[in-house]
Amino acid sequence: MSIPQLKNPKKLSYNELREQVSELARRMNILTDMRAVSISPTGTPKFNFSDDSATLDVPSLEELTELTEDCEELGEELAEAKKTINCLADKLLPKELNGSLSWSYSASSTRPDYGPPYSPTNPEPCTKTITSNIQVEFVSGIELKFCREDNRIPEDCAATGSIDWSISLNKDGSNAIPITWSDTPNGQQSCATRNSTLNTTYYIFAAGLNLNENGPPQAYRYMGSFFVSSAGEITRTVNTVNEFIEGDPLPCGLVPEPEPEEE
Amino acid sequence: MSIQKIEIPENPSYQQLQELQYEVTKRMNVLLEIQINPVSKTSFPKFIFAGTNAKLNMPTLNGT
Repeated sequence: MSIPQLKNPKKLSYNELREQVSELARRMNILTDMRAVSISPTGTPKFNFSDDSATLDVPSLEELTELTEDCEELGEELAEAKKTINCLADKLLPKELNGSLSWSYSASSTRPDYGPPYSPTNPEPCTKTITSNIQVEFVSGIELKFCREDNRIPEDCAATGSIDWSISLNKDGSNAIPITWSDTPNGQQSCATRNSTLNTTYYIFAAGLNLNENGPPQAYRYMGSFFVSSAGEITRTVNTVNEFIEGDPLPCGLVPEPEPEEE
Repeated sequence: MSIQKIEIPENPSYQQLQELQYEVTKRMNVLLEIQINPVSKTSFPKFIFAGTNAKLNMPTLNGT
């Protein structure tokens, strides 16, 4: 409770004057001993002058500073988490969902060792990774343009495997659109234009063929779909499959969580 | 160093009363000139009332 204000009459007797000055001195002594006190950072600064003490409440910046530092640390952790998320997104999603290279498929192809002597007709054994991307664009009218781009690394490996794309009108893979691709060097696109049916969903499949020479072809994997509206707008879906090999490090620096202990 | 408290006699004489009034007025004038002194955000606030000046150490975000 605050101290009451002093009465301040214009005329005082000698005794009243004594009391007044004594009270002023007493209050001055309280003020002399005023203490500044740290309070919560969300508190309101306040001056308290009671009959026996005076305090000044000052919101603490120390706690606020700690909170700010915590926020900065959390910000750094958040930035790291965003990096991981972006890294995973890059691995799981195509770069441009609504543009080029909408679907991607990779396979490994091996040239078996048929023994020496090696020659152009009997190349040395080798293994290459084939990555193929495919995209679709609306041209005009009812025309759709399909383009694919293949990269084979190492390029000089003579393994004869390839990747086949199938674009079907049915989700079971039947009723495929015939597209003939030209064999292009690494990084170059092969494109084909086809008449299409609007207001229709197309289903995309991919498989590796002849990956180990005369071996069986891979089963076609469903890669996603696209829908062409009557206005020619294309909406794409991408089927994402995560493959992890046991013992291999996880992507993007992820650390596996320890398995829970059995009770 | 803080200023000492004023001694208040129970029945002050006229001269003592004069001295009291003088000292209270002097201190009041010092208080009127109180200075806010910014200090480090991790420091504690502190009120210092010396004989000739009064200041309040106030933590600030930019204080040193």
